Amino acid sequence: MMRRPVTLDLAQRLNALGAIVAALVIAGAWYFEFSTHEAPCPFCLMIRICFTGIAIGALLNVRFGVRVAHYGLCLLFAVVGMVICFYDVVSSYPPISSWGSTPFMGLHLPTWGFISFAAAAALLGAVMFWEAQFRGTPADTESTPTPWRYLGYAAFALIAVITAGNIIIGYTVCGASLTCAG
Amino acid sequence: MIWLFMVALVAIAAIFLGARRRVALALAFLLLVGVFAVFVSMQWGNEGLGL
Repeated sequence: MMRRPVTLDLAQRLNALGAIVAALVIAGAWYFEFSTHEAPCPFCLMIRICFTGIAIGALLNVRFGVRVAHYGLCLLFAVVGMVICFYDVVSSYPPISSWGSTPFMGLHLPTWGFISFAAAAALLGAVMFWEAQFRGTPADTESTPTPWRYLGYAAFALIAVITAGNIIIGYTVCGASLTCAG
Repeated sequence: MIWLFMVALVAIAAIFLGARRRVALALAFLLLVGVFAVFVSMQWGNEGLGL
């Protein structure tokens, strides 16, 4: 069932941009991983999954139209991400090597992760005030100017490539372990 | 833990390919519950935040 009437109105374009930003955050973690030659810790992998979840919520908005439930999903992932980051920071203070050896602007990546999730949660709360985005039905693809359609495709492609890469990285860190605990 | 990334990738593919919205949402919630369950299972018994 190929429904491709993806209408990218303004709210959907912004959601596509949000998904791209979430993907770029994970790409930034890749940069640190490869530049310092350090494998990510299991917590770091879970943090990446939470960023991916936020992107999935945004992609749901792009694909099916903007719904409160999709934002709620993003918010839940942001909260779970905050919990994991908080635990990571508090349980292993002072900073340990598994965080990555190089702080970024004076803070280690889990701390930046906490800040990012908190910012995402705050942004999602603020976005809810824009009630007009929930009204109206999306037009079809044909009425959507091509560059905006490509923005949606780019968001899907980017997060898919990032997630596929994380499968490989996750396998090198945890193998096929269900929880990465053993 | 790679199963979580696999679920995420399947969810992304399902959304892009136009699966039913309920299916996509179910996959996303599976991912949400899964990541929280893995987090809890890794820390179970580690009381006091390890401090």
